[in-house]
Order: sequence, then C-alpha cells, then structure tokens
Amino acid sequence: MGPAPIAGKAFFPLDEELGLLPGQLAPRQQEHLVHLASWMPFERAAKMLRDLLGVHVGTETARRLTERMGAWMDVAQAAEAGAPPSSASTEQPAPNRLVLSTDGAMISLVKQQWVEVRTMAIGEPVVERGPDGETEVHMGQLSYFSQLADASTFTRLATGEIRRRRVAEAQEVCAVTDGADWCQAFTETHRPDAVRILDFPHAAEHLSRILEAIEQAGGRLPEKLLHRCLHLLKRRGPALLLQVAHRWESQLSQYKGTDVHLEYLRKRAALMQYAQFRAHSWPIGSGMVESANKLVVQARLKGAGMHWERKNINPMLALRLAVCNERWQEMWRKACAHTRTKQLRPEEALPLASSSSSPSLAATSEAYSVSPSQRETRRRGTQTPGRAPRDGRAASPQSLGNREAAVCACGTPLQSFKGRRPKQYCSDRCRVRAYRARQAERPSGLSPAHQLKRQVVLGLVHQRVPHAAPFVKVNRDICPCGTPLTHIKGYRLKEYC
Amino acid sequence: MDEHMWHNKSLEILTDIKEWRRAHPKATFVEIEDEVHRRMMQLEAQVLQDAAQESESREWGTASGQPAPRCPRCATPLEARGKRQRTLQGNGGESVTLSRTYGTCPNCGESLFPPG
Repeated sequence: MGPAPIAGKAFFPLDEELGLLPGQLAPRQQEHLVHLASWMPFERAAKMLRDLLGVHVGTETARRLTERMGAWMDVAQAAEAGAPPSSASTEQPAPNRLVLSTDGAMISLVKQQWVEVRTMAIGEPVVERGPDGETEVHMGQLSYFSQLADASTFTRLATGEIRRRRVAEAQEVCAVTDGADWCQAFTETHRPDAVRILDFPHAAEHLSRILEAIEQAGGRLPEKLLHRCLHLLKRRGPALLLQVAHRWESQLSQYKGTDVHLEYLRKRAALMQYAQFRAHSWPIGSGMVESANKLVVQARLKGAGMHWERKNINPMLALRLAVCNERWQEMWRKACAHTRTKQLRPEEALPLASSSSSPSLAATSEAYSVSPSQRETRRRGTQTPGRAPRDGRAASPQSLGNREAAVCACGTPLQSFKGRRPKQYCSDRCRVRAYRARQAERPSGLSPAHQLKRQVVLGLVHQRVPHAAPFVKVNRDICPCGTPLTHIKGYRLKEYC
Repeated sequence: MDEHMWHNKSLEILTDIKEWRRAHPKATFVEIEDEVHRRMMQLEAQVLQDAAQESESREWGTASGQPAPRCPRCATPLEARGKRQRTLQGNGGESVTLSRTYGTCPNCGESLFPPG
C-alpha cells in the first residue's frame, strides 16, 4: 500500500464571490462574535451571541476565531504603517494643535511572565473654564495605538496612526510623557519640534521621594513642604527648586536615594516649565495615555485570572484598537481582505491575465501542505544529504514596508520579535507536518523496504514492517528516517537522530 | 430562486404563527416576538440560501458550460472536480447549506478532498 497522496488546495469560486470566511459561521455572525470577544471574555462573548442572535458556538471556537481574525487585523494594521504616504489631499484642514503621549503597561503572560505593552495616545486639546473660573485643558478626538514590541519597532509601527492623525501637518504638537528615554526618542522620530513636557505626577513623585529620603534619614522638614514645593513647581517651574537643591547639595547627598531623583529632575528641567506650558494651554499630565492603557489594554487583557500567550497579545490589541478608535468596520474589511489573499505571496504571485470570461480568484481552502512545485521554488542553497534545508522563505520575518506579513503553511499569520529568530511555523504541529511532507516527497536512494520503514516511522503508513527489526541500520551515518547523524569523537556512536 | 416556494414558505410560517397565537392566548409581547422571530429566521435562512446560490460561480466547468475560473497563482484555468456542500450557521442558529463546484489547478497542485 503506497503512501497517501498529498492534499493540495482546492478553490471554491462561489465562496470567494460571497466573501465567506473559514469556519462554520456566516460572515456577519463571525464578525459579531469577534466584536463581542473584543470587549469581554470568550465564554461570555459566546453566550451573548447565543442570547442575542441565537447562534451557538463554543468557547474554544470563539477564542480561535477571535485570535485568528485579530492576527489578520494586526497584519492589516502593520500594512498601514508600511504603506507609502498618500499624496491625496484631504478635504478637512490639518489639525491646529495635537497632543502626543506614550506610556507602557504590564500584561501577564503564561508561565508567570510579565511583558510591557507600549501605548500611544493622540488627542486635540480643548480649553474650558472650570467651575472655579480657572482654565482647564481637556482632550478630545482621542485615538490610540498599542503594541507589544521593543521601542524601535513600536516607533515604526505607530507610523500608521501618526500619519492618519496628520501629526506631521499639525501646526503645534506637544508630547507629554513620563520622561523615559524611549518616549523622547519616539517624539524625536515623529515630531522633533514638539514641545516636550514631563508628566507632572511623575515629577511630583520624584520630588516626593527626595523628601521621603530626608525624613527617613531623620531629617526634619517643615509642614506641608511637599505641597508647597508642588505648588511652586506648577506655578513657577523648577528653577527655584533646583536652585535650592544646588545650594544644599552637599547636605542632600548624605541622604541615601536623593541623588538619583535629583539627577532625574535636573536632566529634565526643560520639560518642567509648567507655568509656560499652562500659559500656552498645553496639558501637563499624561492622563490621556493612562486612561488609554486602561481602555485599550487593561479592559480586555487584564481581567481576573487572565494570562496570555505572547503570540496572542498583538492580535487582541489590534481588535481593541479597532474598537476604541471607532474603526471597526474599516479594519474588519481589511482583515477579511488579508484573509482571502493569505495564500498569495509576493514571490509566488504571477501577473493574472485579465479576462472577463475567466474570473480570477484567491484561494479559499485551508489545506495544509503546499504542492511540490511550490516547495521546490522555495528551497535555496545547497542541500545536505538526507536533510532538507530550513525553508527561510516559508515564513519571512514580519516587517513593515514592502514585504508581506509572514504566514504559516496552515494560514495562521506569524509574528516575529526583534532579537528573536524569525518564526516559520505557528506551532510544533505544523513544523512536524512540514517535515513529514518534505521527507515524503524527497527522492531517496534507499531500498523499497527501507523506504517503507521510513514511511512507517514518519506515520505516513500504518502497517507493520514485514521484515525483522524495524530499525535495521543500513548506513551508520544516517538515521533510518533519513536524518544524517553527527558523530562526536570520544562519544558512543549514535544510531538514531 | 423559486418565488413560488418562498411564497408557500411565507404562507406556512404565517399559518404556524396564527396557530401558535391561538394556542397561547395569554402570551406576552416578548414571547410573541420571540416566536415570530424564530419563524422568520427559518424563512431568512431559506431565502439567503437560494439567493446566495444564484450565481454563475456556483456551477461551472465543461458540464455546465460556464467558463472555468483561473488559479490565483498561475492563472491556469481550474479543473472542475465536482460539487461539495458547506453548511453555515446564520441568525437564529438556522443552517444555510451551499452546494457549489470546486476545482483544482492542474499546474499548481493536486487535490483529494477539499476542506471547508
């Protein structure tokens, strides 16, 4: 009995025409499910879908569909960042004043890990009179961007939202941050001439630490000194306080912990001219990004007992961003478009002949393995005997700009992180499948009996090996499955891989 | 699309609703709404199924005479391999079954059994 033929891809023109998505839910129901799961846990979303629309799905189905569409929405979002700037002029005038703010929030992963999700918020300041007659600066037209990424990747990926909000065209921009270096670098990249403001509560915290260190060391301070210092800082800026700190530097240095905080404040003196900032109606607090963290990140990702896999953080964030930026319909359409074209990669897509009688279509099926000709076009470099090289083109690293996002052979989009090896498969299961498929199609010089034994090992044929021991070694340098063996001097010869 | 069948289905639903109402004289507005909604979902599924299949892409190939679509990779005309059904769950949990022709590309790959 020979091996089972390789399953290839089938095309369903009607499915493509109707815009059907993979799975057993109608497209609208799937959209509702994913939309609900962007707001609430998967089990509750499935229950709500059942209550509202009478559609029955399990919790795991809800989770799987949500994470998959979230991954495609993340791809669509990254494509926005990498797209060239549009030269088309918009009807609406460029914004007059914008406020940028960046911050991070910690998310719990499985295996007791914590990671930092970076968030950016953009808003337009609106000046209003408070009940006490004082002017207050409120933020309107808020939009957000969040990503689990290192600082440089985050800076690049945020380009899409920066461009959409026309930050570069705004007449005046200010950046309110907590003083972290990556926040300053972010502002420097996107709007170097922005007014930099250190978030007032952060400055207050460092000032408070200095006074605490003095009190803990036994120093006596006047009553309400902190309150008075903060009032001075807000109304007149840091100059007077830093002058006093400089005069008493020798005494302050004997209190442990004050140096670090003093240095922090000195380094950011220009960012603490709060009197001037308030006179220009700029906000001095980064409350808008703090609430962005709560709204975008924590509302869905920091529920009770929630621990996430790293690969699912950005897909969920992409869904949250679509919801919180009120771009759900637009991003859903883009995600669906990416889902339908997932099988086409730039290096494989050939120019299609335009013909009204022969409509072209994108693949709609989800068969796992690819055809031999496709595998052949992907291979590169020299082959070591008995071993197919790592297919670097099976999943190129996810990147912005002109390259498409990486996709596993099963269709799941892949994510890669800076400093880590690019992923080629979404799971061990897909990796093993690809290995078996490569082994099955690779021509070998082994005898038919040995080929059969190898196929049994690979799980392609379920039958007993007719001859004696199933692992009769023919060549000491090759495992029965075909993998070359590495012999290390001084160690026992290996028999199997 | 069979309008006569739709008309008959509508009449059947209306008759069922009337009978239900006679059997539940004390039903509240919400209960009536739920029952009507449930029946209408059945009609919706039927109409949706018929309307969705009213397409040239449903049946193509040499037997039907419709031109074959082209492979998205290599633009080779696909070979029709028969029909397959796919059932979707729509509003109210009603099933919508689509029967359509599927094809494979003779140049790109082989096929045994299509998923979905």
